Amino acid sequence: MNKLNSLLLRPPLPASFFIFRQSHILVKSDSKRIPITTTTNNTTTNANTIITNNIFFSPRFYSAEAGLTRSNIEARIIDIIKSFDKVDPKKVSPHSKFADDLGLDSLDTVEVVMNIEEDFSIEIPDKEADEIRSIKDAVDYISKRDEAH
Amino acid sequence: MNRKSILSIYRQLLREVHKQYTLQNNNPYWKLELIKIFRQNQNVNDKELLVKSNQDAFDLLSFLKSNRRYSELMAQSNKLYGLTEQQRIEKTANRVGLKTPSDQDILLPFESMPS
Repeated sequence: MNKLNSLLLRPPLPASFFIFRQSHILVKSDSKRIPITTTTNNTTTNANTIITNNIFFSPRFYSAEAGLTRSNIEARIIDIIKSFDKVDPKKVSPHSKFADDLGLDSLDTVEVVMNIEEDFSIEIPDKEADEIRSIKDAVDYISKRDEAH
Repeated sequence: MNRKSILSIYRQLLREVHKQYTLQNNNPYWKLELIKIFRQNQNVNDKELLVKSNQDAFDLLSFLKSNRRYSELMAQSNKLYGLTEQQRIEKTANRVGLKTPSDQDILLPFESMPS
């Protein structure tokens, strides 16, 4: 247990930078066991019972992800609009306009824009929300907003 | 009162209802109800009724907004705001390193009594 503890304290970076994968801190198989003679006390110890040299630390970085790609945003918006029950899913294409192609009235458009807002966790101010009249407008607007996710 | 302001109120109402009801209860009932009411009055031509329903919508919006703001401010300044009596007592006891007795602890002396 002491060995394990000293092992965990070894990495030069703070422990929070690593997610320890338990499967990698397992006892090594006999075939790979190499007896190591330590110089200090002149006894042979099986230093490899716990893997010391082969530990695989998988770093996980908590930095921000790269922004959404345009195709990703488009696919999500199309999904939102297809799930809207007044819309015929077959008519939805990346270039559809809410009023002309999909037959939505102003109240429906507000609802659709709200659904998009909720899905991307952003708030769209009134002025800009009024200008979103097609799927393309929505994709353009969302790709401009960095905090959308 | 024009088309734009009605849509703006509608949008803000949807947003408030989403924040306060749909997200809290994980239930779209209130949102659907709101949509239904707006749809019902979609083709109203009576001017008086239009003015009245618009005023109602505006009042509802300000009520929802100010209520949420009030709770947010209260929660900021008062840690015990919004807790039940039980939770409040538990937190108070924890504060001085104590724990409130569980139901088991309270019943135990009575159970061990000879009947």
